[in-house]
Amino acid sequence: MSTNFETVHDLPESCQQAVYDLILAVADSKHLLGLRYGEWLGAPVLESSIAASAMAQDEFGHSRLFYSLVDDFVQAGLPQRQEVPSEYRNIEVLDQPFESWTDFVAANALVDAALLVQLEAFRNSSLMPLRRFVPKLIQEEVFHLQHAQGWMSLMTNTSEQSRSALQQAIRKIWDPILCWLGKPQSDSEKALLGAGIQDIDSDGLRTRWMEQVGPLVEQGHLDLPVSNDTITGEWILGSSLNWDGWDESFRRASKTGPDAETFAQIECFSTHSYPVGT
Amino acid sequence: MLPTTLNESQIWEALKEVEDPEMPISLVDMGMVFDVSVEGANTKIQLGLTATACPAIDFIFYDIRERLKKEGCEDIEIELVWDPPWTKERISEEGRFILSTWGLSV
Repeated sequence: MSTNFETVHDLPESCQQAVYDLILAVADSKHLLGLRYGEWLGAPVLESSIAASAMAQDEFGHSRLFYSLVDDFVQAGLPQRQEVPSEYRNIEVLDQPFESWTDFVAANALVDAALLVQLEAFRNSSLMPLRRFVPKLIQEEVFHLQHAQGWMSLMTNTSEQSRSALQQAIRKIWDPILCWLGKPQSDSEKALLGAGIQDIDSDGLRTRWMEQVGPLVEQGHLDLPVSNDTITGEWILGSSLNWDGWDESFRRASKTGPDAETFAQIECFSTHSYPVGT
Repeated sequence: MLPTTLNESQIWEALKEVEDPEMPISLVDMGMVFDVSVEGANTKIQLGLTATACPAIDFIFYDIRERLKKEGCEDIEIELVWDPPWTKERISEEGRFILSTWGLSV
């Protein structure tokens, strides 16, 4: 049986950095996802504007809890992250605003699913403060995927134009999201599993992600590299992931961070210098 | 006023008068008060929020402190709890009745 850790101070030094990296990557990704959802209060229908705002609120709340753990790490002696875009560890596909509602739906299905399977892997975490708040977050996430599923089914059933636009939007973000779930056999993966921070390895997370996303791809007849083994029922990834330039501690291939406009928005929250309305 | 020590049931009674900022019922009827403990002059409240992104945290903390100060409590500790998570099953019968009269179904 593995040891449980009541605070981040109790974590063995050998895994502290890996845990900090992952917690900050989740915090930044949820923060940015909340911002992106919040930019779509003008969704195509009123119900989705309300859903976008509710999902944004959830993501902000979740990032707040993850950032409180980040603060604990800083108090335990890890360096404070500098407030510059290149230090942000959000999942790369959130660097820029969504260009269309189709991009929104693609991210709603794929990014939210990735963050959810990561949360699920924390359910039995040895890091107790994390384990305690995770069930509440998962409870709040339920309707996010329902929203994405509803829109994916609408877009793939109504016209060939919307189906192919969705397919393109998903292709654009497919690889970075699968990579975000972690590099197999990396030192940080070994540290996270060894200390019992998460209970499944990165390939296991990808399988769980495909179990969420695969059926939507199949139902929508989308041409994407995932298929279902008719004998075993398992979802299989049809392409290999490109890890060139991948930085596992940032969970990104590029260290550009959010674009200038987005970062200005983030900065005004932390410095309380709000833009004057026009 | 001199600091006084209330017992736990008196604290629960006082908290029944603190309303949820967004609902017309008390924090106790909302099922948000998870535990109350008194040790000497120290009063500890365990509070569960309905949502992780609750925008009213500061109001709720302020209202709890103000109400308990009226009873003479000075050393008030409020701890947020997420485990077990708040669910609507925690709303009391009385709370459900009041919410239904406001047209809210639970």
